[in-house]
Amino acid sequence: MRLRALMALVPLSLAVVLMGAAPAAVAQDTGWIRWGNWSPSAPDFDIYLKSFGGSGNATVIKHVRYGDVSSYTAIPMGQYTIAMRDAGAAPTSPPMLSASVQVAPGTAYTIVSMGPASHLGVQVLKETMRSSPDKALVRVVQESVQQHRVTVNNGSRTLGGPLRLGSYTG
Amino acid sequence: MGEQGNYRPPRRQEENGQASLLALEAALGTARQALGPDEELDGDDARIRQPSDAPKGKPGDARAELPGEAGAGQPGGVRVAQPEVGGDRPGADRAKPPWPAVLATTVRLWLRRRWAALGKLFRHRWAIVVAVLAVAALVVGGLPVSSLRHPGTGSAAGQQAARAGPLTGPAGQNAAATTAGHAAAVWVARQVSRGAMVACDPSMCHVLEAQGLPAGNLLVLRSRTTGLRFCNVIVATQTVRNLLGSRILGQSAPAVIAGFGSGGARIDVRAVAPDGAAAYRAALAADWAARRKAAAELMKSPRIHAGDAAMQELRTGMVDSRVLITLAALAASHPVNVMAFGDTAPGAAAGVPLREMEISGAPGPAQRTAELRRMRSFVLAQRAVFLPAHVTLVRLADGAAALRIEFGAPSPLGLLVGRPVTQ
Repeated sequence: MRLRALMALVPLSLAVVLMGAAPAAVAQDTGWIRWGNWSPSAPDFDIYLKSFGGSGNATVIKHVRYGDVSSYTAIPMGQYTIAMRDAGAAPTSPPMLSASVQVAPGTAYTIVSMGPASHLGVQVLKETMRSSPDKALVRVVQESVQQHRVTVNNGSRTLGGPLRLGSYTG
Repeated sequence: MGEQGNYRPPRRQEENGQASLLALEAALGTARQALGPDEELDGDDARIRQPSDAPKGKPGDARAELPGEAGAGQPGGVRVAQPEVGGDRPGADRAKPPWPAVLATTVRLWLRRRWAALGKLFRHRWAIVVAVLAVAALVVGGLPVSSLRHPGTGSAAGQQAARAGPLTGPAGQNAAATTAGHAAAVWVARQVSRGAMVACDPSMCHVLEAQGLPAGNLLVLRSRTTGLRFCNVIVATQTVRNLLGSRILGQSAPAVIAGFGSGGARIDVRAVAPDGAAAYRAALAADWAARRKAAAELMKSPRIHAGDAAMQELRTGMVDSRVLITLAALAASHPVNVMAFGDTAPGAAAGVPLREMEISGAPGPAQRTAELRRMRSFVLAQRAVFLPAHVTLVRLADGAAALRIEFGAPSPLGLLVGRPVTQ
């Protein structure tokens, strides 16, 4: 299994994500989730995931910095609230960013902050995890706040685009 | 840039509350007499005085019937008479002074003066008669005049405007149209999300602006409809229905989120579907399924309690996704009792989510108000789509305190399945 974010390119801040096979040993009622901070001018975040059903404690990831992308974590299927707070803020304080994600079994998601500090956003990317045995999947996410549209080329071949902020190749 | 031409220029908001209601009624009823020169030139507002819009065929008839112009001795009739008087000035025949002619002229002028005096008296009386007749015409013909002021006829061009129901409808229909227009404007001003773009006909936009909607959030629909896809809501008056046609309206804005009045006076507030009706219906269906699934999980939470009616609404996916997410976020820190879900959207189509909830916190009365205040602070600190339109501490019928949280319309779709959220 080889799942990791390669980098966030500067100044384009294009997040290029390599995706191999699906995570191993996927339980029937489990999905996969990872998170990142792709907002160049945003502060460090603490990210909270809390189940709608209230079961268990919230999943908390502390001090997520710009450019960070975590590895995948298994998580029970279901609906979750996502709250991103300034690093060190009280868990009961109002979040800076809110969103929700429905985790389906066997499916992987990437949750990231995006945009400039004045227009922060949350994005949930549902990842495509299956490829041919001898190939890897590459997804390019346009998270640049300086370039309005970006086209992704491999030599003379256009892989995707023009991509706006928050959009990505298939 | 083409769309920008349709936007109204920003104006300073000068009225609100009761004053806004007066402005609204003025715009619906008597505003035409108060329009400034620049407003008269404002596209379709000016068109209301065109011959095709007038009940009678003569150009200017409609204008002449407006109060303040008919009975006030406007110079029109006098001005017509003046050239007659001026054209027969004494002394015009002085080029030929023979006595017989002078004598004849003197006699003729004397007679003419007498006649002029009689004529002047007659003309004054005639003016009075005209004024009285005009006032009588206003009273008797009040129906067509008030129908001209109806917003639903304000911007329809030519024959389209003439086909509008209120133009020829009975007095009751006009009253109903005015009432519906008023109710729709008040509803939109209170219920539609502040950041939403609202498409409307010129008259309705004027009224909405008076109700406090920022001019920059209004797209005035005239002859062209470009820019509609960038709107969130359209106020479908008779004028808009005439302009777009039912097919385009159904395709561009398939969901009625509130409705007022009936027949030709009907005004629907519709959610715009930028990608078309089919895509909207698919997104609505997916959202409904996600709401049901999320609500089913929410009902399992030991920190959330609800009565049978509220449970049924959760179970059937009737509750707005923002309400569900807020409820889940609150329950992470507070036990929450859901008193009721609701919506103040009369005439909404089936499937339009409930955007309001009334909740209470801890069971002890002493802690309840303090708990509700904490919850209110939490909710009011939310951003973007998760910031409610209204958050109010209320007293329920049994005397208990509760927090009423209302989100703006229309309900965004896809939030539960990870639609990007920009703060």
